[in-house]
Amino acid sequence: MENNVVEMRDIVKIFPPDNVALKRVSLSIKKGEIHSIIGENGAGKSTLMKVLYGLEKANQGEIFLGGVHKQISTPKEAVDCGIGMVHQEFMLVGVYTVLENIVLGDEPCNALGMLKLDAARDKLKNILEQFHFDFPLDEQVQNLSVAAQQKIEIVKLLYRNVDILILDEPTAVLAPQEADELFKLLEQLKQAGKTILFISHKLDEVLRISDTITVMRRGERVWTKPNQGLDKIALSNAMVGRDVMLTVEKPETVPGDTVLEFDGVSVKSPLVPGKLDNDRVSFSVRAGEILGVAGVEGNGQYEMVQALIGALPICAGNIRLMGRDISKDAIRERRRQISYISQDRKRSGSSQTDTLTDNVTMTHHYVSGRLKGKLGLLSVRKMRKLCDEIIENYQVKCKNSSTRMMELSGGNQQKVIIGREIELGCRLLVADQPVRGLDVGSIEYIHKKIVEERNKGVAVLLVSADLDELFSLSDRIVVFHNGRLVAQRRPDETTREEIGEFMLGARSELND
Amino acid sequence: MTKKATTIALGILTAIGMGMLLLVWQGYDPLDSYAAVFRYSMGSSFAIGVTLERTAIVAMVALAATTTFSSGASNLGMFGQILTGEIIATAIGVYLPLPGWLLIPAMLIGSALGGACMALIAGLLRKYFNMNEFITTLMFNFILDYFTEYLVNTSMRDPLMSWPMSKVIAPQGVMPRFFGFLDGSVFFALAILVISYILWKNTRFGYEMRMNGKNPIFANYGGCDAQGNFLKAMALSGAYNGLAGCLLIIGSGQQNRFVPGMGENYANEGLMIAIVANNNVIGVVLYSFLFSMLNAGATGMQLETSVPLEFITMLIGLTVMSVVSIREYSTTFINNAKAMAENRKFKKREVK
Repeated sequence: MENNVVEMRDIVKIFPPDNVALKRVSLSIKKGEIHSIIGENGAGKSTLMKVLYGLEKANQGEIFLGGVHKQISTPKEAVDCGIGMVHQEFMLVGVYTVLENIVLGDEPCNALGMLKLDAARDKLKNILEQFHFDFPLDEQVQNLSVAAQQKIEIVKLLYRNVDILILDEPTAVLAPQEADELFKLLEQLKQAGKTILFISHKLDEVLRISDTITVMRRGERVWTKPNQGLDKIALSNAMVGRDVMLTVEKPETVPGDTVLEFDGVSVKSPLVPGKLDNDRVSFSVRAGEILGVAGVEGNGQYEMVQALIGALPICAGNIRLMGRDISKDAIRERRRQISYISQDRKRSGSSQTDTLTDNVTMTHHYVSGRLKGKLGLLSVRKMRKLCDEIIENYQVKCKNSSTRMMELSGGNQQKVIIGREIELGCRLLVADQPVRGLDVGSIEYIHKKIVEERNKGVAVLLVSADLDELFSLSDRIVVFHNGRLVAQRRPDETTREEIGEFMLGARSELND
Repeated sequence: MTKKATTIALGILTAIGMGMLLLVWQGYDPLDSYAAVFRYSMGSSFAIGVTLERTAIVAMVALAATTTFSSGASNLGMFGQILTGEIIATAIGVYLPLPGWLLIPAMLIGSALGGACMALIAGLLRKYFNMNEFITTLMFNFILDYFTEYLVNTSMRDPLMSWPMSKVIAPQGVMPRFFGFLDGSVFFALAILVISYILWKNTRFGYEMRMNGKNPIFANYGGCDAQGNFLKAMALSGAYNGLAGCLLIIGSGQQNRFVPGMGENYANEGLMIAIVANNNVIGVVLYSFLFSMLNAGATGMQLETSVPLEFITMLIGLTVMSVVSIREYSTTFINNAKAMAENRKFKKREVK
């Protein structure tokens, strides 16, 4: 008990109305260990950490720090107790310098309230030297890479003398090489006596860096074990309670005719004048193949998809769909031929406050004749029927078709969206990060559906930040870096490391 | 459904209760006052006729407001578009010698088109010059108010009247009465409400309009024609207001002539009804009726119990606030109660 820095006892958290996120969860963390908490989305791991960090108030339960009972109700109190958290989305001010960001909220001031940045600089110097950080303190944060920004978040916590660091899926935004660097840093922090709580989806990295692993499932702790003799199969079984197929079965197919062709497409940046977000991008997708698009976020993949759908104008080249130039068409015209799973299911993929029926009606309402009723009106009965079919065929867990979208879990929402888009029956399926933030079970199901579409002869364009996903699904992979398409590979002829080098711009196969 | 009805009933009862307290505080008899309101709005066939005619008119404005709220287009030019409808109906009714079966439709269609045009101008200014329709429609209210006032001061003025107002429209242009007390406007409004209900529920345009109001980004990626729908929604909303203006002229219980500034209270009431009705056609009917009842009975109440007319305006305000706040808070309240019950289950398990 004495060497447990954190002891959480019987934590219950209920989100109104009756979503029990944590069912009497107890957890002990030993001092100086890297303790991973894994589980599907909605398993409660993030909620548990938010309770510890004071972001969520538990309905029941107690927290002991070093054996002493503590009431933590705000992040400020958590930091005062030596607990800090790095969120998935960074909380940095882009136009402030690194130094300003680090001291923000805890600025050293003199009696008159004037900033004393030099005092902070001295204090920081020790931290930077101790952990071999090398970033310029006076650079604006917006000019730094995502990996560097993440390190700033960590330094921010170290500056506040935090001993227990919570990292919420830190590798989700990193390329493989950057992740390696992060792991080295975590190891150093551990040597320095810090305790690290690591939340993740990715079993490989959990097995690689953890001392102890806790598995959560549906708001309960399944077990906590030291990381010895554990493997991926054991972890995933504990996470979902059944065997998961980690590789998708994918029969060989012969790709058919070209469905989509990008020919020297350039897209001007809407934000930075003179910059091209897509610079002379050319590729093609054929019927019955999955083209994977790799790249670190913000390197032009998003803009490529926007240009394809018609939400961003192109300034050079053309886009051909089944031989016809669609570059000038409106979104409405293009959507007749493109099934599109957008990146952000809440913002652009659905209307959260509307019923499932209204949500699946979108695009079908003018593309297909299957919702037509008498006198050319929309038939509410047929809308419901389509919705019921999608609920059944895509294994959506919900009450009925009048349920509102927001009442569904992320995975089920995504199944509704994918059902809607696949049911459109277009020859091109564009899937922009279709499984981002989903649980293992849903990911497996959605991957299966995407491969099924490919086998039916649909051309699939799959954009993903997750190399595992790209390698297991794609027939070919193209890599974006800085708005340019820098490489093309077949997954069986390359490695994750090689693709990673292309993603980071260490290598390029541009021939111009 | 039952939950919806409960929250609405609770909201209205709360407002009535608060009204009673205010009356008692001011030394009036609350029951007498409410009884007078009821008697003068529903107590005779004549009173019912007046209430329903008023309901028909205000429901049109409420539909206009509902259209703008649910589609994401902002039209605050209710007043200006009502004035447009009024002045066009008056001009047709006074100067166009047509038989009644042609004159009434001509006035209705003319007013609807006029209202639609006024709103559409704001929509086009948005489309081509990126001018915020929120502001332009609001500004049009002033322009149209002064322009119509100018018209009845000059060319359209009735020379026999000492006050500036238009001539009375031709008698065959006045809506016929049915059963001696029911104005034709009531049936006309009922037809428009049924058509609107179908429009929202069962047409592509209605669906796209609703989705655009809820999540324009989703609608855009889904292939909805955002720009086209915006213009259509503006025009539709303007047309409803134009119709309301027309009914204000041709209704058998109205003055049948244009008087400057008439209809402003309808514009505000229509907006309030759309808010309490939460963009629901049936709600529009219910609240239009309730508010019209209160308004129609207000004069009677003042006569009998000397409670000032303005009390009703306050009561309507109270109703809007209590219905909306109870509606918004009820979900949170029920959810929290459920969460507490769930939490107790865990505590019980601990005891065992």
